[in-house]
Amino acid sequence: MNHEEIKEKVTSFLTRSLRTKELHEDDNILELGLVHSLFMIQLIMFIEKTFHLELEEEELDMDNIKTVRDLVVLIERHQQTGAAL
Amino acid sequence: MNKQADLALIFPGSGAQYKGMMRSLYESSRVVQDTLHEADEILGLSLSGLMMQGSTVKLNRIGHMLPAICASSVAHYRLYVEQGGPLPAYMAGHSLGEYSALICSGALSFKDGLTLVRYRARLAEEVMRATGGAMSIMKSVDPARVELLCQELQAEGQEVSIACLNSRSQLAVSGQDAALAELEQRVSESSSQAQISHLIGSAPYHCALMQPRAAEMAAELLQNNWSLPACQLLSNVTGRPYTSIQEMHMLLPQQLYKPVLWQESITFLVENGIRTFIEMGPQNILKTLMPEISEQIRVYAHDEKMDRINMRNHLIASSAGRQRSESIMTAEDLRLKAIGMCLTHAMTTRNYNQADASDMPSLQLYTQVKQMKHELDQGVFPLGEEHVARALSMLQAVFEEKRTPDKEQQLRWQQIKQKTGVELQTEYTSLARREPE
Repeated sequence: MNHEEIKEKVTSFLTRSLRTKELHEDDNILELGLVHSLFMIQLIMFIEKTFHLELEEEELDMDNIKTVRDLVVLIERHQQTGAAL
Repeated sequence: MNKQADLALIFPGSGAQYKGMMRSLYESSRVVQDTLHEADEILGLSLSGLMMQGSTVKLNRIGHMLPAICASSVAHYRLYVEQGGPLPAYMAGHSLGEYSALICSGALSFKDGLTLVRYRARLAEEVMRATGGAMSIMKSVDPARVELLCQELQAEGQEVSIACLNSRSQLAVSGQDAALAELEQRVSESSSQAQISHLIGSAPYHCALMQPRAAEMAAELLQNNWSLPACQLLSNVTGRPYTSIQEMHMLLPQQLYKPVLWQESITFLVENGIRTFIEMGPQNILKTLMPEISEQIRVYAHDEKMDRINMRNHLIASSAGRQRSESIMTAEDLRLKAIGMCLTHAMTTRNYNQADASDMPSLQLYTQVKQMKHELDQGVFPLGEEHVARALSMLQAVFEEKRTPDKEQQLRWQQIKQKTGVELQTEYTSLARREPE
């Protein structure tokens, strides 16, 4: 999956979850509300299922995944190390 | 096990699982360890390993998630029983949790119940794959408003409906994914407060998409041995207690495609005197819901250490209260008992006096006190201090006339005091010790 595809998938997931019409690459998702434990679990599920990788607990610190850009970076880093399920 | 009339145990469903669940209890409790190993054996897979070490995605697979939550709930319940937890008046489970409740109440064996849970999970997974159905959770919404929007969409030929009525402001909806997305959109347009979470990888539980599989579920239920539960058990479909095993067989298949009436279930329990709830299972989802249903109750999550401690203190305190009312006497009971003891001691004290019994005025006193006690027992008049005083002075007179040695007198007064708390005033005692002239 290339960079654009990843970005598009992440954006559409967040758009549905966060109920926003438009989401830019550097919008802070924490400020859009609705970041609670249930959302976090869904985010992990989405990333692990869609991109076939397994995340470590510490990677899910909200400070590291504030934006679409952050998430895409995280996913791409995993794909390079090939930590597939 | 004693039964507690104001207690209900509640069992969580999907969503209660979490990475690392049961780890600390597994390490600290033998009965938890044994229960999880038993589950591994029943299912032929390392469920305990998945719970404690599995990834979020693996744990969230329906075929793992549902048995994991059920086995955890049973382990929690067995730990609770081992530590002297009383049998509740009611059990109720949310969705999958209803099966945990069936097991813990003894309606099904652990093996049969867990096998049924796996079967039900398989049906749900197949429906999810075949229909592309899913589920979303909605918080801070008006259920009536959401119901209207569902009906709107149904009228447009879309498959979506309310799956769980969890509280005054929280519910779950199930249906075709596209219909769900549309509903989510309409709900958020009609309410800025709404918090909506689309559940990834969830089956469309409790909606019409599941209905075609209900007959298979019904047939599977009949393959098992059923017993009457040890306490009342609530049905998700009716929000009321089951009245027979036949009714379980009828309603459990319907539970696949009918909404979970959770708020109604809890409301029913509160109306029927339940004041304490204990959530038996991983996490604290049901506990968190409680304040949105009823304010007049106490709720503990057995998975939280502090709650387990507080819960035990509360249960010990309230069961001590029960015992008090059953076996500990009121002040009036004790005074009546003291009067009875005075009569007994008067009779059983040896007579050291050589004089004829007819010359004993105290005998007359004895007869009067006996009559008085009889009338008190009948409730002819209320017991007062003066009645106790009469009995005490009668016994004193008896001791004097029978020439009872001081030591024996003291021993007898002591016995009365120990049993009833009633004692002779010192002025009586000094009078009693007066040397005969």
